[in-house]
Formats: sequence, C-alpha cells, structure tokens
Amino acid sequence: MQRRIRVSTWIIDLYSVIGVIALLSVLPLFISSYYTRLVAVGILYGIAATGFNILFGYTGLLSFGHAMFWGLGGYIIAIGLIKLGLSFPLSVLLSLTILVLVALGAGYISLRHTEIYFAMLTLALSQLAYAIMLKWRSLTGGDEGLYGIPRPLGTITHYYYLILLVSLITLIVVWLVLRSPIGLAFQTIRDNPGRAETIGYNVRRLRLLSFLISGIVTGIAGIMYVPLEGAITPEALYWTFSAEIVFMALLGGTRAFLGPFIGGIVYVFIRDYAMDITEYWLFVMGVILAILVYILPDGVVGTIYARIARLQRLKR
Amino acid sequence: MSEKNNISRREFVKIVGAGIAGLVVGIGAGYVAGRGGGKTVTVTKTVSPTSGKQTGPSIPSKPLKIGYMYFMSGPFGTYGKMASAALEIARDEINSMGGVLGRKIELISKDEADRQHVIDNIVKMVKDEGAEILVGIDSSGDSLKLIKTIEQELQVPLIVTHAATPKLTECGKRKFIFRISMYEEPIDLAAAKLVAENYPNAKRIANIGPDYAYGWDSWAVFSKKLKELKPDVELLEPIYVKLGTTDYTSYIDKMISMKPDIVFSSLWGGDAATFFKQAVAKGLFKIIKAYINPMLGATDTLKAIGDSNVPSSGADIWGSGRYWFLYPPHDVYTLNKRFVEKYRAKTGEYPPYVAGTSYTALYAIKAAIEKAYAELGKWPDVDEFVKAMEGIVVAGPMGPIYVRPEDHQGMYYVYWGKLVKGGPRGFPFPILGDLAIYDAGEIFPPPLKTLVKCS
Amino acid sequence: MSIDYALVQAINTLFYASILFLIASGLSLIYGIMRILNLAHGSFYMLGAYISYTAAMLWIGPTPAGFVAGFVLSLAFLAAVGALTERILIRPLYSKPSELQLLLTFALMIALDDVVKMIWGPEYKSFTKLPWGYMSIGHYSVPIYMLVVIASSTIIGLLLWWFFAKTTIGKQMRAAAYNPEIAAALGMNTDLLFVSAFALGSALSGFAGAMASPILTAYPGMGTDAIVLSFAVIVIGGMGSILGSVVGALIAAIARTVMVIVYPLLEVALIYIVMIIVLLVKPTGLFGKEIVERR
Repeated sequence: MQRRIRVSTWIIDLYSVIGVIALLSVLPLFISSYYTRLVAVGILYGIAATGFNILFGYTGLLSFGHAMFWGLGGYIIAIGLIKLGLSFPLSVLLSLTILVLVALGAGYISLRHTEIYFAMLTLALSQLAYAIMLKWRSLTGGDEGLYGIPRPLGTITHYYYLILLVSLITLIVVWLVLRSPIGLAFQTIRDNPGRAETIGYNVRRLRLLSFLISGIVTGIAGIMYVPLEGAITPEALYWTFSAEIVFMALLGGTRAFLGPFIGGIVYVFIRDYAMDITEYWLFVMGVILAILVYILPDGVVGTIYARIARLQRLKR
Repeated sequence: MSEKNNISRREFVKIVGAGIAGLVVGIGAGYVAGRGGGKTVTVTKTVSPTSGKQTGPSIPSKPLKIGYMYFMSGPFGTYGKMASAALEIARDEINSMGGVLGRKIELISKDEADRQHVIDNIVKMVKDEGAEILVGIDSSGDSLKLIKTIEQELQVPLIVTHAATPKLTECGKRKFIFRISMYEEPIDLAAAKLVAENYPNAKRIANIGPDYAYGWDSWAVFSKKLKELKPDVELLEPIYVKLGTTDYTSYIDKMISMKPDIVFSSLWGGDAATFFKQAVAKGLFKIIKAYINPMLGATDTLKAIGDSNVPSSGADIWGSGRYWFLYPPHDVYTLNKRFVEKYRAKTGEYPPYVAGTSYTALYAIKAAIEKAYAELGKWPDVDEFVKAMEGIVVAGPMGPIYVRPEDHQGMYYVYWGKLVKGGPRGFPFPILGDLAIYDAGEIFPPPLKTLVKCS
Repeated sequence: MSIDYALVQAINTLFYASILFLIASGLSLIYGIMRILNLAHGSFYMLGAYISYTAAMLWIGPTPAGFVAGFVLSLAFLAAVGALTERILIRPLYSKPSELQLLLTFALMIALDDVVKMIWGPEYKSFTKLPWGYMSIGHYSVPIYMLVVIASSTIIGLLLWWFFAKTTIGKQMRAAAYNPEIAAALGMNTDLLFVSAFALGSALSGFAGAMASPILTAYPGMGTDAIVLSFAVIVIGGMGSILGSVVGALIAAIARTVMVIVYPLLEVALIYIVMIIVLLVKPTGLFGKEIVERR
C-alpha cells in the first residue's frame, strides 16, 4: 500500500483542531438555531468518521460496519434514559461500558482476518446488530425505534456547546494516541504488517486496540447524537449508514488527521443543500461522490494540505 | 364574512342533512346530536368564492407558509406524491378565492423517507423556512416521535392526515397536534363487527401484519373486539413481517397450513399489493371465507393488484381506508365529485385516501383561522388557532369532519367495502363495491379511551 | 407437517434460492476475476426488474411472449450496462487504491435508485398477471412460473459451469482471475476478459431481477437489500466459486424458510449469524479458494 508521503505534520494537525473548534464555537452567534442543529449533526458525523479513520487511515483496515458503533451507542443511551430512567451521565457510562465490550468482542471476531474478509465480517456483525435492534421490540421499540429522548441542558445552543466540548476532548485524545508510540505502531502495521511483526509488534493485539478506540470514538458520536435528534431507529445501524461514514471520511481525506472530521460537516451541508434543491438528492450525492473519486481522491482537506505542502516546498 | 355562520347545533344538523341529501355520514347527525347540550359548532362553507381581500391591520401581509412532510421517496414514496398533488389543488383553490383572510397559502415540504432526520427536517421547516402550520406525516412511528418536538420545542400546530396510531390522539390530550384523518381503532372495531355479523360460522382467525406498532395494534384491537362479540372464535398465532418484505410465499403457505376461516391483514401500500398477488397465486382465497384488510381501500394498492387478480369465486375480500373516492356518491355530494374530477385532471389518477385527507387539512386550517377571526377580529395566534380548531366542522371530499375538542381527533364514518372488478364498472383497477357504513357516533370509542396500551 | 406442506415450502425455498443464486453468482464472478466488490450489483438487479416490467406490462402485455421478451431484454441491456460501467467508470481506477472502486460503485448504487425513480416513478411496479397457470398440491397451490424460474436458474448454473470448465474464454477468465500479469504475459487480452466478465456478471443480475419481479414486484431501493444478501451468499459459499454461490444461496433460502416456519424472530438475523460462523471457521467460504489481494 504505497501512497503519497504524509504531508501534514503533527503540530499543524493540533493547530487545525484548535482553530476549527474555535471557529465552530462562535458559529452559533451568527446562524439560526436550525443551522446550529445542523452543524451539531455535522460535528458528530465528523467524530464518527474520525473514529472510522483510526482503523482505516491509520491502521489500514476497512471496516464496513461502523454504523454498528454509532447505532449501539445511540440505542443504549436511549434505553438508559427512557427505559431504565438513568441520569444522563450514568446512561453515557452504561453506553460506553457496553460499547467497550461489543468492540472487544466484534474486534476479536473480525480481526481473525484482514482485507476483504475483515470488511465482510464487520458488515455481517453490524447487520446482525441491526437485525437484533429491529426485532428486540420490548427493548428497542422495533421498527419504530425509540423516541422522546430528553436532551440534557435544554436548548439546542447549550447542547451544541456540550457536543463541541466532547468533540474537542475526543479529537485531542485521538490526536495524542495517534502520535504516541502506539499510534506510530498502527501506522507501521498499516504500511507493512509483516515488517511490524518482525520488529516485535504484537500485530493482532495492536489491531484490536485500534479497533477498540475506533469503535468507541464512533460510538461517542452516536451517544451524543441521539439526545440531539431525540429519537433513534434501526436505520442507524443499517449497512448503508456504514457506507455513508466511509463516504464522509474519504470526502474529507483519510490521510489528513482532520480530514474525516471536516468531511462529516461538509457531508451534512451538501446533503442538506441537495435535499433542498431536488427530490432526487440521492442522485446528486452519487454524482458528487463519483466526482470526488476521480478528481479529489485525497479528499477536501487532504488536497488542501497537499497544496500547502507544495507551496512550502516552492518557497524553499 | 359572508361565508361564515355561527349556528346552533340544531341548525348544524339541518345543514349537514340538507347538504348531503339526507345521507347518514359520519359525524354530525349521530355523534354530535347524541352528545346533547346547547353547544355551538361552526360550519364553514368552503366552496363559496369571495371577491377581494379582507384587510385589517392585524393580518400579516406575507403569505401563509404551510409545511408538509410525507414519504416522497422510497417504497412508500407514492403516498407523498399523491398527498402533495391534493395539497396543491387545495392551495390553488383557496388562493384563487383570495387566500386565507387575504393571505395566499405557500407550501413547503420535506421528505419523511429520510428516517434518521425526521425531527431535524420538521425543525428546519419551522425554524428556518418559516412554516407557521404543519401538515402531513405518513408513519405512525414518526408521528409519535414528533410529539415532544411539536408540543415543547416548536409549539406550532400539526394537522396529521395519515398516521393512524391511536396513541397520537387517545393517550393524553395534545395541545398543538390534531388529526383530521380516520385513525385505525374505529376501522378495526368496525372490522370486528363486520366479521361477527357476516360470518357466523367462521371460527379460526389468522393475522398477517407489518412488524411494528401499527401491525400489532390493529390485530390487538380487532381480535379483542371480535372475541368480545363472538367468544367462540379461535385466534391463531399472528404472523408479523418486516416492512418492505417482497417474498410472502412461505408465510402464505404457513398460513394455509393453519387452516384459517378468516385472514385479517394490516399490510399496506406496495406490501399489501405484493402479498395479495402472491396470495392469489398460492390459492389462499380459495380456502378461506373472508380476507379483511383495513388499508385495502387505497387506489394505489388496488391499481397494483389489478382486475385480473380479483378472485371470481372463493373468499370475500373486504377493504377500508380513510376516504373512498366514490363515497359519498357523486350525484348527491358534489364536493366529492368536484374533487375527484380536479384530482384526475391534475394527475390522471383517481384520488387515493391520502389525497382526500390532505386536501381537507388545508380547508380545516382555513376554517379555523376564519372562525377565530370572526370572534377576535384579528389574525389568531397559535393558542387562538388551536382553540378555533377544537370543535370545528369542515367539509372534505369524504363529507363533513368534526374535530373532537377532547382529543383533537377528526370524526366521521367508517366504511368497509367488498372488492369487485373495476373494468365492468368503467374503472382501470378493482374497486370497493357495496359499502357498509358505520356511524362515527356508534363506532368511535369515547375520547382518550383506547384498547391499545398507551405506554 | 404434511408432505404437501413440506413440498410447497421446498418449492418456495428453491424459488428464493434461484433468485439469490443468479444475483450472487454474478457478483462472485466479478469479484473472483477482478477483485471488485460491485455495490451497484444489486441496482443492476433492480434495473433488470424494471426492464422486464416495461417489456411485459407496458409494451407487449403480460403474455408468455411478453415475459420472455422481458427476460431477454434485461439480459442484453444489463450486459451493455455492465460493459460500459467497467469500460468507462471503473477502468480508470484500476491503478488507484481499491477503496475508491468500492466508493464509486456505492455512488452508482445510490444514483441508480433515483434514476429509476426519474424514469418509472417511485411507486411499486406490479405485474398483474403470471403466465403459465397454476398447479395444485393438496389444498396448496403453486404457480408454474415459480417452477420455470427454478428450472431457468438451474440451466444457467450448468451453463456457467460448462463455460468455465470447457470453453477457452472461460478458462482464460479463470487464468486471469488467478494472476492477471501472467495472463497478459501469455498474450491474453485481459482488457477484453475484464469487460466480458463484468458484462456477464451484470447480465446475470439483470436476469435475476427480470425473473424475480413478476412475483416480488419492482421498486426503487430493491437493490439495497439484494446486495447485502448476496454478500452473505458469496461469503458463505466462497467468493469466486459458482458452486459456492449455489450452496450459499440454498443455505440462505433454507435458513429463511425454516425461520419463517419455526421462529420468525430470527428470520432477518440468522443469515448473518451463518455468515459470521463460516467466516470464522473457513474464511474462504465453503467452496472458495484462497483469495490473493491485489494492490
């Protein structure tokens, strides 16, 4: 898997995170509450895609079932809040605990393979989770899902800042992990698993760790999303949403740390716009995705980074 | 304000009676009269065109924005197309009469098929695009999901025209949510009556329905009532299938092996048609006495079934819905005739029930605003609009609908009709023949009472 | 359970398996030869259904001739669509990372749903009549049409086996599947092989749609469920193996029917459980060979 050299440096990534979050934190002052809500959805999609990219962009494993983490995180917090009557923090804790267990189990099963079989296993596991959410009526409400989920902090704007805070912490933690020796080990495995093995890495265990972190990060986005929307249906786990997460990550660029995050936000706005202009908005999304594949295979952020890097080289 | 009258109950009954030539339809005659008391109800004659605009300092000059949401894509996408065609007809009619107190109606819409963002999209229409009143909602699940958003966050009126779960109106009074369309419980109760009266020898009752609240609740109401009316029936294990299932063959043979006398099915839309055709192919209707489907009276479903699939012998096929385009008969009720003609001119099709109910929704809004204006002399705010909606009577293609104040549920008759070939009668699809009409006053449960579990 | 009942349920199962086999064998063929997981493969199934609807219901009428015309037309049309897709859309991506191919076919998949809606509208397209009548088994009834589908699918399976085992181009395809560089070095025209494989695979899926829709109806989005079930089928049977697709389709269909009869709660889930077990026990599927990833 030889690809172009990494052009972003760690410190640029960190500054970009802080810059983007700062920008997002003043945004609600200028936009209507609908757009605040939309940006909040975009941020959470971005976090979900960032989680996916830990596994894909940094560890070299294409998961086709990340909707499972998003959906399970969402379902369990909904169950905690409205079925068990737990407080918000306790529901989050419950959701995280179950996510860890599921991620470990799913990772253990699917990491017996790599490449296409890994993708198929993650797909099968998420479809199984979808079927369970669909059929376990008493707990999940079946096809209609769960609704009337209360939002902590009342207003959209307040909750928006909670989402932003959680996202900032999540992004920084992911950033710290990825630049730590563990993160560098992930990338060694991505580039050459055989070599990683020979220089003494426990490849299987490291992949599992990456899978775990990846699943939890995507799960956190799902946890935060459900109180925002107030409802969750089994569609949140269906395989097409997994594909949408892949779409978001590639839209932003999987080779830039902030790529998937920006990709999630851009995705939400493109979709919102496409839905406004035409009932055939899926067609528009398909065309945009196709254009992206041919013209911007590095994604929006990846391409910008590459441009900057080229400018810097020219200056020297 | 020549088109508005405040009249007494007695006069109302007279008007309804005269207007529809003595037909016992729905509400009025039965239910309202039965309630007693000198209550005042308002009838708005929706047909008389007015000349010129009303003017007044309190009436906003901008258009009245009404946001609607239906399935516009996906397996149930036709429902939205049909409903929006009817809404456009109503909008054009009202606007050509000068609008609502001079304000033209402007429609905006969102696709309910975007299941993960139903709430987002409703919020967007209100907060961002300026919808003042909402109409629509196909899915029962979505309607329930929206209760909290509508009642607490948005606080704008929502007039539901399709979603049929009793929980929307009968499990606690909503402030801003109204439903003018028939809901499932009266139809299912009437179905139980129909079976008990017409099939005294039927013993074994089977069910196949969609695997979500609508399917479970329909069977619960129907089977409970039937057991009460006819204690000797044996209720077979109900079968539930995933929405959008296309291969029913194994289910049908399983059902045949259970040897039922009556099959009750709450499958709807394309699912109902696919099931029906496979049931014909698998000979289900040859071995049962009757097939009862509360959602069969939908022209789109009947079109998909086609005349060639109507069994010429064997089981009776019964269908119902929220509105049947041939009832009240066109020769005695011109409003229905005119609506059917306009809808055909616009779309080339006969109007399905969702068209009838969504068309009526705009007239209900108009009537309520005008009623409030007559009382207050100004454009009503949200609370005043809600108050005006309560107890209003509005004439739609299906006849007059009375909006019960206690639960905001629209009341009119329930119909059940037997499926016959449409070809010989001049229709390009099977139709419902002789209709059995069940009076609203007799068949509706009291307000806020339901056989369905509310939690 | 009576014999009659068992027999009709067996026919239902075989009908379902026949459709699954036709879709999955095409998907498996394309993957086996080109290592492309075509997510739009289910959409080709949908296109086949609509073409056949247009021929049988709109042009000719629901007569046996109309249905046969529908089958042939969708076979031909989807072969052309498949060839063009490979030639124009996918070929420029062979040198690119494989996730881009996957993403492109996903783009095609979501766009095709809307294309169908633009042309035919969003409503279910329903065949109001089945040709060839019915057969009685006890107090059950079976449309002859279902038996025709089962027979056609069996014949196509045999033809595919003969094609790959006996004909030169079939053998070349297998060689190219094994190693395209060597195949090219041996003077085979791999461009031509790839385009034919894609056309053949897509045509099979279109044919499946044409055969299925008279009973199952045609609607936008029907490909989304079909593709994910086909994944399960080829993973269970083994990617790239025709026999694997047969066995995978049978397992999927039997699992479904048994659950419908015995335990409907598991109807949707069981196939994925089987898929996970097979992947864990024998990742190459029951009849698959080791797949060498190409990069």
